[in-house]
Amino acid sequence: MSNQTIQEDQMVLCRGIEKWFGSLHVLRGISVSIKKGEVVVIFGPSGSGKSTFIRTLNRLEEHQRGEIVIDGTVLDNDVRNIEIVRSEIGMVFQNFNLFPHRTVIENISMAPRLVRHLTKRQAETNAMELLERVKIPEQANKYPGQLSGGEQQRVAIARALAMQPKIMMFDEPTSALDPEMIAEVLDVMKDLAESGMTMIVVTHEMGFAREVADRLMMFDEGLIVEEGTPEEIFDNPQHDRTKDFLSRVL
Amino acid sequence: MVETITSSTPPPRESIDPLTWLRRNLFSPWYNAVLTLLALYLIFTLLNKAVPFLVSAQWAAVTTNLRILLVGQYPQSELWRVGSSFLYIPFLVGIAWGVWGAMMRPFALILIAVAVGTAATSFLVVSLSLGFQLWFAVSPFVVLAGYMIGRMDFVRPRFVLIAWLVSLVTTIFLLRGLGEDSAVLPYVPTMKWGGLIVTILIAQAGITVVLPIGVILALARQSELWFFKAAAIAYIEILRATPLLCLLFLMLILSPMFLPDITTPDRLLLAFIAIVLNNSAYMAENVRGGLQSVSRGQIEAAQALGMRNLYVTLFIVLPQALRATIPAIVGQFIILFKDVAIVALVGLMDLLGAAYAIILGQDQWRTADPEVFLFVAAVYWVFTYGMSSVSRGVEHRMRAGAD
Repeated sequence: MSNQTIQEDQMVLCRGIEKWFGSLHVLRGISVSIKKGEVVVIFGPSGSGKSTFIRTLNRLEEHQRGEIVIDGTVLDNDVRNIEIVRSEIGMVFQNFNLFPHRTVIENISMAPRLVRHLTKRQAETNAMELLERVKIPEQANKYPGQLSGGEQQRVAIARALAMQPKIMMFDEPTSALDPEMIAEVLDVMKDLAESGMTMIVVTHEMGFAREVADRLMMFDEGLIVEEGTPEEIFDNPQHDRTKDFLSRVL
Repeated sequence: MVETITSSTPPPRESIDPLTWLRRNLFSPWYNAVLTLLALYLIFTLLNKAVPFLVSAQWAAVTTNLRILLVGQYPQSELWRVGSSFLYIPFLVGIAWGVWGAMMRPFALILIAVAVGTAATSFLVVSLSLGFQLWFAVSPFVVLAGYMIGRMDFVRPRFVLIAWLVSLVTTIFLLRGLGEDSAVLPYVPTMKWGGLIVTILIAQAGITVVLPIGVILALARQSELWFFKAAAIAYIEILRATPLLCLLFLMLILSPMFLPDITTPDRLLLAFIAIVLNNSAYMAENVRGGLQSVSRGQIEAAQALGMRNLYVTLFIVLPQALRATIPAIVGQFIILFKDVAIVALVGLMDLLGAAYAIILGQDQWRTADPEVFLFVAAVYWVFTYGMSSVSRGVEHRMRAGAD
């Protein structure tokens, strides 16, 4: 696969991604191209392969067919490539996955210290800046268990940002939150989008999608059924499945 | 018409007099009352039988043999080495108390009470030499000194670990001594070590080694490298299946085959290795349980951040896994402590061995089994209670952070 066919600002390039879980054909041929600074929202019914797809991008799942190129690096079995890709993609999980045995500031500074070899002071200074950015600097020395869900997710976002990724992926970031906390997390994500971060967000929050997304993709049964700008998708859905899903969600 | 309470009020205070407390907790409902009466009856009969026995028992069997029970046949002239090095025990207890606070307090106080009691009553005991009396008299102060050091801010749990390791190494060295012709520290062969000090030393060394080996085995068992995985499974399954006694016996018989003719294996070492092999296999499975309890999301989050597998295991998985496994780990330590009695098979005399030596070897105490074994049981209880106290202290401290 030649690298010259990739444009300069092409962050994510996927061609014909297929994946099976045992005999279950979960991804049936996904082809996606995402430019730098784009905010892509992926939505669709559960079991459609949305989460599985984004997890193949940072090798939390392994694709069996197709090619994935992240910012010029081909994602294959080479461990070095996997490490490069993982350091360029930050991920935020539905269940936060904060490290319960470390404080908030330790959670954020741990990876920069271990992977990018920052000193404790540098890492903690950066961590405090990020905590300011997600608006919870006063929680620095608390443990995750002492924070609310919305606060924990914001710490998770700060933790991912601490590695200075080029792409941020969100796997249903607000699905495990109480309604009153969803807004604070979405606000942080909006700020992030406005600052020019390339984002891939799997979510059911259609309001957020309409406001912030550059492009929407509807997944169903392992395929991208429809793709377009928010206006195109919401105001003029083409595909039956898209119309069906939207009518149930909106 | 709903009345709103605008400011929060304190909860209603219930003061209960003792009689009402008794009635509510012990006597109602009716079956509770029956159980209470039954329990009282059982306690009464037990005390009725036990107290006269305890009072009129031949405690002299224990008191006149205290030296054998504590240090076996260690040469009298060299006992100063034992006394001075074993002061590390009250020191460790004290510093652990200082570091882990309230959980350790009952145990520390019990030890101090035992030491003071022994020192005080030892004036009546003929066989306890001045050295022993001094040791028991001094140890409460050592505990308190350790406590004050443990309370200082910069002292953290890893200090206790360091003290543990250093004391183990120096004690073994001091007890063993240098060459035969050394004036200051003549060599004392391990076959002459005996009594409680043997139990403590082997248990302490065993505990130190078994946990790391167990962790390594548990990780190897999960490894993707087939060789390590197979080796770990073989080790665990074979050594768990072999009874300790059988294992030691096999090692005793087979060791001359594997070692060069000149060397005769140190019996103590052989017993130690057998204990370590057997217990580490169980420990590996305990740790594996803990490893499995760490949720997959933790590993994924760490990997997504770009951390290498080694770091993920070391900093994310192991701390959480070990915290979950502490009860099982301490349980295994307690088992190990009691397994030390196996040294009898190789001719060494630990605490239990000393008890047998007294019962079987000294005619006058042939009928004094209950007294001697009660004493031994009490000593075992003190140490295992100590271990549980430390484990609760460690758990409490970890919980305070992570929850």
